Amino acid sequence: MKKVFSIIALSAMTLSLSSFTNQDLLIFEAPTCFEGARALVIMTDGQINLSNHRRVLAYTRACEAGELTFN
Amino acid sequence: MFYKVKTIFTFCVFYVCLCFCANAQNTHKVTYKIQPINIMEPLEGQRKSYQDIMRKSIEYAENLEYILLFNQKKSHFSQKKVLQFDNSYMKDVHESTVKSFTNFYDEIFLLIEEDSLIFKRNFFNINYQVKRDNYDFDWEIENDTKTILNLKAYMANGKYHDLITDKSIDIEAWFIPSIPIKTGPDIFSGLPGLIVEVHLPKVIIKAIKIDEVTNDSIKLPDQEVLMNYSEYKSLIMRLNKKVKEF
Repeated sequence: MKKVFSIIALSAMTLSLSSFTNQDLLIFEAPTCFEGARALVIMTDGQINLSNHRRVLAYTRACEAGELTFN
Repeated sequence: MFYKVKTIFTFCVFYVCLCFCANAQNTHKVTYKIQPINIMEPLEGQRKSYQDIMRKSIEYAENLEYILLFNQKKSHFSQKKVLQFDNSYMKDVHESTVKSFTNFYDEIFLLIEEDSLIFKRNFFNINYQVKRDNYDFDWEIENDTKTILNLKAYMANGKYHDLITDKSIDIEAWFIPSIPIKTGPDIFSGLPGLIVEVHLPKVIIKAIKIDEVTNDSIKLPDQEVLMNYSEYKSLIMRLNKKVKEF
C-alpha cells in the first residue's frame, strides 16, 4: 500500500512539474513598473536611447497609475 | 485687324502664364498612413502583457494620419492631431511607442529652393528647433514601377546615418515623377518627384490621398530661434550620455 501511494505521489509530482513552462514561472517574477518598462523597450528596440527613452517614462507612469501591467 | 489679333494673343499668353504661376504657388496636402512591421517578432515567447501593449500600440499607429503640405518652394510635415483619447497615460504610451517605430521629427519644414530643412524635436520636455542641410540619401533609382494613387511611381533605394543610434538606415522609397516636387514625408526628399511610400525597418509609410488646399499656408518658424546643426550634434552627444545612465 505504501509503495503504491509513493508511486502515485511521485507520478503526480512529475506530471505537475513537467506541465510548468517558462510562462508559468514569470508569474512569480513580477517586475516593478520601471523594470517592466525598460525590459519591454530593450526587447523591441535592442537598447535605450534618445529616441525611445520617452517610452520608458510613459510606460512607467502608466503602470504606476494602474493603467498598464507587466505581470 | 492684325493689331487686334496680336493684342488678344498677347493677353491670352499673359493670362496662361498668370494661371500657371498662381497654380504653382497653390498648396497641396498629402495624407499618409503608417503600417508597423517587424514589431511582434522580438516578443515571441515573452510575457502576454508585453505583447498586448505592443498590439494596442500597433492598432493606434494604424489609425494615425500624417499630413504633408507642399508648394513649389517649401513643405511641412506633421502628425495630424488625435482627438478624443480619454486616457492621457495610455495616449502617452502609444504616442511614444509609435514615435520609436517611425523615428519622425515632431514637425519638419523643407525649404526646397534652399535645399535645407528645419525640424522640431522634444527631448526631456524641451523643444528644440534646428536648421540643417537636407539629408543626402545617396538615392539609386531602380527600374521597378507600380501604381500609387492612380499615378505611376518609381522605386529608389537609399540610406542615411541616424545621429542618435549612430547607425546607417536603409530605405526603399517610391516617388511620382509626374508630381515634380522634391519632397516627401518627414526627412525623406531629394527624388525627382513627390515621395508617396517609404519602407523603414519598423514601418511602411504610405500616401492615401492628395488634395489641393486653398487656405492652408506654410508658416516657417522664427529663424532667429533656430539652433544650427553642429550645436544640435553636441546636444545629442550630451543627452546620449544622460540616457545611458538610464
